[in-house]
Amino acid sequence: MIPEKYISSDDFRYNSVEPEILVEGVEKFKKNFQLYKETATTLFAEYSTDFRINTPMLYRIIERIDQRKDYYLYFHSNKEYAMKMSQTKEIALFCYWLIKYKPIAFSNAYEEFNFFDAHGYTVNEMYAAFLLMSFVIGLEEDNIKYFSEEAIFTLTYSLSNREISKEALILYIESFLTEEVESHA
Amino acid sequence: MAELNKSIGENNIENAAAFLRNKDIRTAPNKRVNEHDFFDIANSGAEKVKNELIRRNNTKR
Repeated sequence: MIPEKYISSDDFRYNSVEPEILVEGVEKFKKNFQLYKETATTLFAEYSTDFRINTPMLYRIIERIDQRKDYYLYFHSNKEYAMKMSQTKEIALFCYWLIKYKPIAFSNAYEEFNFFDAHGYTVNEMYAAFLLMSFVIGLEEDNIKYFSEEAIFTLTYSLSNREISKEALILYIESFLTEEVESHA
Repeated sequence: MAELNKSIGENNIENAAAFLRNKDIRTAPNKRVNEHDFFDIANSGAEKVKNELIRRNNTKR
């Protein structure tokens, strides 16, 4: 419970991230997205890799994750430790907001129409799956074995058509954490 | 088997205090893997994903 003295005071409110953090986050996204584009030149050879990226949407996503991190720190910390939100939650939230806002589109609208018509998803869902796989395989290379063609299809289909909550995505990604990791760190 | 506390459903200060003391067991699972940024972890695995997806695609042809 927030102490009464802090309510409506300048001392208690969410302090947004610094602009440098937003810029850094987008640069890291671009690095990952570049590798997606290199993959797409083979997987979707008939399409260009000329995309429009809605940067303000990416800023919003990064800010939303930061807000949730603050929420987590406030409600889950106790006297012994400060609860810093795990990376699995962060990547899940990033993927969730990515498929909700859809900040990526083909520069050419006709390519956008054709891509969806042919695959049943937009580049956002395919990229979200790529990012998610990148994270899971970044944790442990051997995890690539879990991403068969069918698993990737199920994932992109689910991201496009099924109602996937933030918590469901968190659970999905956490399920790949098979090794003991430091808790509450 | 532990003895059931039959008075736990009663609304009183003792039960409310016990509820708060047990707060930690209701804390959400939170597995931080290290101190790296989540995008740095993803970027460390992206090259492998790229190579594997391209390899599979080329094998299909």
